[in-house]
Amino acid sequence: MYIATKAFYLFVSIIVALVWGLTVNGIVRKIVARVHGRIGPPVWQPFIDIIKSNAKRSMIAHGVMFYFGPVFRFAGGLGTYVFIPAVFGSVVFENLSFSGDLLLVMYFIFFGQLGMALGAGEGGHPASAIAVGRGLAQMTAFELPFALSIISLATQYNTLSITDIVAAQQAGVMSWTVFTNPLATFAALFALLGMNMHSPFDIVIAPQEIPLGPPTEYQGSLLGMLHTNRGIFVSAKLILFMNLYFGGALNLPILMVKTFAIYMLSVVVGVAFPRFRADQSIRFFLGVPTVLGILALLIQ
Amino acid sequence: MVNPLLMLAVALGVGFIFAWLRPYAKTAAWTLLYGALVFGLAVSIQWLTHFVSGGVSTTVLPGGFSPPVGIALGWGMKEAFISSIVFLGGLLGSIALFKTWRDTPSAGPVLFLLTIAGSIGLIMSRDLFNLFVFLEITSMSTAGLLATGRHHEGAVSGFKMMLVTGLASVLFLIGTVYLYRITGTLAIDQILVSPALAGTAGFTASFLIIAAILVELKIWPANGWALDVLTSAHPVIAALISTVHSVAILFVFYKIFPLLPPDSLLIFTSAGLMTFVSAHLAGLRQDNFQRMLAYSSVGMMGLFVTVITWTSSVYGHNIPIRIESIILGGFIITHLLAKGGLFWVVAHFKDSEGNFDITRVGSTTLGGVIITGLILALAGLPPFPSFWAKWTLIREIAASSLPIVFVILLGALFEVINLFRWLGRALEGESHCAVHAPPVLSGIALFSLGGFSIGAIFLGWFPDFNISILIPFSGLIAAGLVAFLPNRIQISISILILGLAGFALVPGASGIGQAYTAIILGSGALMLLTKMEAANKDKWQLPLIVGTVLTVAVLGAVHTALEFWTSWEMMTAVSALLIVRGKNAKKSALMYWTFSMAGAFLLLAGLALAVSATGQTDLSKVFAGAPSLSIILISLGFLFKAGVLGVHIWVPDAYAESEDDSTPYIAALVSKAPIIGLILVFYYAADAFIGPFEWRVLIGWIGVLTAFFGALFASFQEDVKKLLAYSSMGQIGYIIAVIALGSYTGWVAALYLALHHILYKGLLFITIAGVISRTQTSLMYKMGGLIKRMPLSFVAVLMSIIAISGVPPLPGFGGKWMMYSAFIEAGWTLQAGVAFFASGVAFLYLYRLIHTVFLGMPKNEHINVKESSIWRLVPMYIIIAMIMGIATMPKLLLEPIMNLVQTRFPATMHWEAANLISSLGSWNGNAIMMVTMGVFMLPLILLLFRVRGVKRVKPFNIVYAAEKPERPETTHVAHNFFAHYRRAIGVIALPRATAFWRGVAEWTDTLGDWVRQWATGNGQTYAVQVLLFVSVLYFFMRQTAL
Repeated sequence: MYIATKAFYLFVSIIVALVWGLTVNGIVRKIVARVHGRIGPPVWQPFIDIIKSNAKRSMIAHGVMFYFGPVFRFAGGLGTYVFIPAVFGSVVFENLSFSGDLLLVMYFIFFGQLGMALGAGEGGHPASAIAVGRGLAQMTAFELPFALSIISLATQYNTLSITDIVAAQQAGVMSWTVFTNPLATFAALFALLGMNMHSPFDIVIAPQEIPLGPPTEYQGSLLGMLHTNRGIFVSAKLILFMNLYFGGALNLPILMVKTFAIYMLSVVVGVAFPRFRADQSIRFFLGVPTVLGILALLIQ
Repeated sequence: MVNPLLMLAVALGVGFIFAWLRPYAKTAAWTLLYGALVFGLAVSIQWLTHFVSGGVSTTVLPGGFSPPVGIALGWGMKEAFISSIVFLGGLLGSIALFKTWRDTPSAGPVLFLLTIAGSIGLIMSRDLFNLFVFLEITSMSTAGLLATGRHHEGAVSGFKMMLVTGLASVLFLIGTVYLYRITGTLAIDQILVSPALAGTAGFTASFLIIAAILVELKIWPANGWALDVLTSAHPVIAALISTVHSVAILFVFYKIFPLLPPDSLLIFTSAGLMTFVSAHLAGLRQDNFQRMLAYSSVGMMGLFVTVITWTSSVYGHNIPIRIESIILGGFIITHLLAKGGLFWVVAHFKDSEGNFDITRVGSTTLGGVIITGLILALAGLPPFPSFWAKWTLIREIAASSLPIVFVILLGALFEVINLFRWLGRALEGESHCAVHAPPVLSGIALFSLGGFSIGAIFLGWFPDFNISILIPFSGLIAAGLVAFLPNRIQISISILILGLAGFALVPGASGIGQAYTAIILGSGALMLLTKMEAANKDKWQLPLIVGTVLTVAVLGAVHTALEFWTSWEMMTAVSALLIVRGKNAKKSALMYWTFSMAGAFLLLAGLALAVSATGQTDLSKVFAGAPSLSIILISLGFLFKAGVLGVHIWVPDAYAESEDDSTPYIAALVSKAPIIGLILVFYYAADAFIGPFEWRVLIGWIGVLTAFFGALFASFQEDVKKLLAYSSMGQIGYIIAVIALGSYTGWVAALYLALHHILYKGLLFITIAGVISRTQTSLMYKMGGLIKRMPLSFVAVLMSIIAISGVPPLPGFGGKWMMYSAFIEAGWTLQAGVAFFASGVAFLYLYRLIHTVFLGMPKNEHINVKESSIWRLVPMYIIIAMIMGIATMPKLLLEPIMNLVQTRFPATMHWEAANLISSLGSWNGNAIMMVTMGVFMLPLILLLFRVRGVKRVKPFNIVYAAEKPERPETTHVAHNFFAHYRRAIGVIALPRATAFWRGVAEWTDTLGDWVRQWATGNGQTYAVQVLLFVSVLYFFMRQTAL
């Protein structure tokens, strides 16, 4: 009975996160288009993309690993989300956070990325490998300030449990990490810019000029799965940041407001700054953001 | 008992009779000659047995009058021992020369006997003028022997010898005359107690006598003549001069050095040390094996002088007989049999034109075994006598004279590097040289050396040593003896040997050591299954693998410091021999050997210091009471062996160049030796790491930086084996860092990571060895798309990289979780950050590994490669099953580890059902596995509904615009894959350590060349050098005496 209830709650939680993630992505695409002076796609375009991809009659596969790539990717997004408690104190949205702590979430993020990288690799096109190589390299760089920030938080709150970290921020706005540990928060927010892969850190997907690569090589249901993952994964990342630095959320509306606001950081920076090359991007993350992370540790 | 004087008389008498008898009755003459030598040996051994059983020393008065009127000859245990050595060396040498003597009649046999007789006289005589006479006899007879070779160089070097020893004789005679003038006697024992000795005249006279003997002992820089003599002489004559004659003169030094005041001993010690170090330094520059042996002989004399004078200054003149026997006896026996054995090897393999090519020695297995044994014996490795001598010497003087220990070990390091260089060349020739008969005489010498050691152990000379520690040798020999059997039977027997060793070693071990030994043996046996795949091309490989596994395993079963050191040395030697079997591994193996031995010597210095400081032998007590300095030295030794940042340059080449089938044992098992060492030292001596100087914090930093740079270097490799080598370096770095934490969580993480590393690194190397054997290349950009041809190998690598990267749900995540928790708990937050960065960088090389080899475009030449054989796949999938088992039920593995660690630290983690709770968070491996499976299966099932729509397509070729670049690989996406990363932070990955160590090597080489140039080959220069040496020595001694 308990398992059935839990499974139902989980289903609800995943659907909510998915819908919210896709919606936010749609809104952001619209905003970015308007800044660029375009009308842009409708807000519900991400939903249309999923339906359209899944409706295709056939899909191409280069082999088993190519086929498993999107599965890994989606499982990675899904897993990351289910290990994070989404709404503080909510039975429905606590997900499966009892399985582990913050370190589990940080490492599970890699699960999908690794699988996706392998899947795209089997396609055989060099552009896939180039994109993955850039993506991994950039990831190592932005994970450093993020890790330093997390370690700083663990020392500050003396816990790695996400629920406990959120609980420690419930004494009011001024108890949020962004105010109690601003250095760690800014280090992490810089990292978030890299994670979201908006400009200036979008060399990995290079949407305008790379005609091939993971997103282009996949089609049909496989691409549909990648689209679906984009929704769930963006929710997972934003909720994680909300939990760690902005006091978490006691209900869904607060969750939506806070996560949207956090996402806007990437959007504003993205529309304002031109793209870095891969090596510039790496050097950037190992510069100011890392120093902020180190200072956060030393001052702790 | 036979009168010892008869030995001398018989040798002299037979010498004269032989010359007269030979033309008339050859057989009788030869019988007499060998009879005299056997007689001398028998009498010496009879007396030696007598003295060992408690017999009292005696004085022989040949003229019937006591000194000062008559001459006194001393005869005690030491004299009997040295005499046995002289006769044994003489007998073996004369056997080696028999054919030469028989075919070309000369005065050789007579001169040979005269040299032996003169040496016996030098040993027995306690009269200064009598000593002078015997010195002259031996000088002339050896010079004559050199001339009998009938080649120009021999005669010239004999002349140089006469020139220099003539000068020495003059000095000796002047000193003798003066001493007689002031003391009224020539008897050494009476002079020693004469009050007149204390004056300036007594000092000067004594100095002249001792200086003359030092010249005869070939002390640097007055030794160029000896190098020329030992190089140009017939190798057997060189052996006689180097061993028999030199040892006799050494005994003269032993008798007369107390003539000078004890304060002046340091000068002798320094002269000996300079000789020891300079000889081996210059030896590095030699490309003539016999000359290298000459340098080694000279170096050994320097060591003898150091040992004699310094142990005397430590103990006064009351050195315990057991200590003296082990140190001097061990070195002298090794000098006689190993050095002599190597000279005989040269004689045996010289061609008709007198050229010696060491590669011929390995033309037979027995020849290879013999030269390996002799070189290892000379290098002071177990189980040979010099090993025990080295240990005892360093242990005895470590507490009082650590600087001297370091100088001795520096010289010893030069020596072992030099010896291994030649060994590499000798073994290299095995496959492509004409087969020669093995050098039987040298084999006998080697066998005798082993016998001496085993005999000493059984005699109870080393109560702190259990013979079971030598099990690896039994295993190695047993595996070697079955090398003629079919491959699979050999491997089955090898696995059986590991099993039997397990039964012998595991019950005697305890705690972490017991688990370690069992795991190493089990893993080794599992990996051996892969060898079933194909017939063994190299008959040495399997015995060496068995030896390597056993030597690594036995480290967990030791109880005393001596046992630990013995096991460590065995492991170093056997693993180096395993690496040198690689096709182009000579240079890499030498580098491995150099760094391993440097680490081993640091460990020796630390252990010896700890043993002498604590007075204990039990390892736990030695570590527990050890002073901080010794703990630092010991842990430095382990860090060298672990290949941490700065001393890591041997790692990639040693892994890459060793045989593909040998690498898993080096990477997965040998790399654990320093880990168990560090754990043991931290286990018992944790307090020594915390204090005014936080040594453990430094080790922690070294660990995380090693992890980071290991991952970074790995990302830039093109060779898959080098990539894995740097990966190992990185993983070992994590383990070292968490050991250094010295906390419960840290140690549980360390043991978990170490065990985990054995599994996945073994799996990776086995799998990659299979890939290399199929594709015939280890360059990754030459591979690609192998997933279609080798899918099972792909899955194995996939599992390994997920496990290494720490991505859930595989057990690597547990290790990472505990590691970060331990760092944060201990407040090592910056170290945690670096470790996290390293962990991120690891993704780069892991992706490169799997993508470049298995994904991407397949190569035309690999289009038909097959999957690895079943014998490789079975152990691979057993390991995968173990990894999956640990991932699903980590508690099964972690609970015993936690119980073990709990014996040292109070627990800071506990279980709540399947949840592991730390002070910071929790980890439920079981739940993570279930959730991961769930979230993976959900989209997979959804996709499977659409499987009918899937169309398989094949990869397509990429065409470049008709350009044929000079280096086609540069256009390949997999080549220089992380160029942008190198551009971003590659500047910190420049090979600075390599540049540093190359600089050290070049400086050492240049210095060696400078020292070498002292031996100009000019007799007049040598004479001047002798005079300068004596003058400078006198100046320093006067300073001391005043």
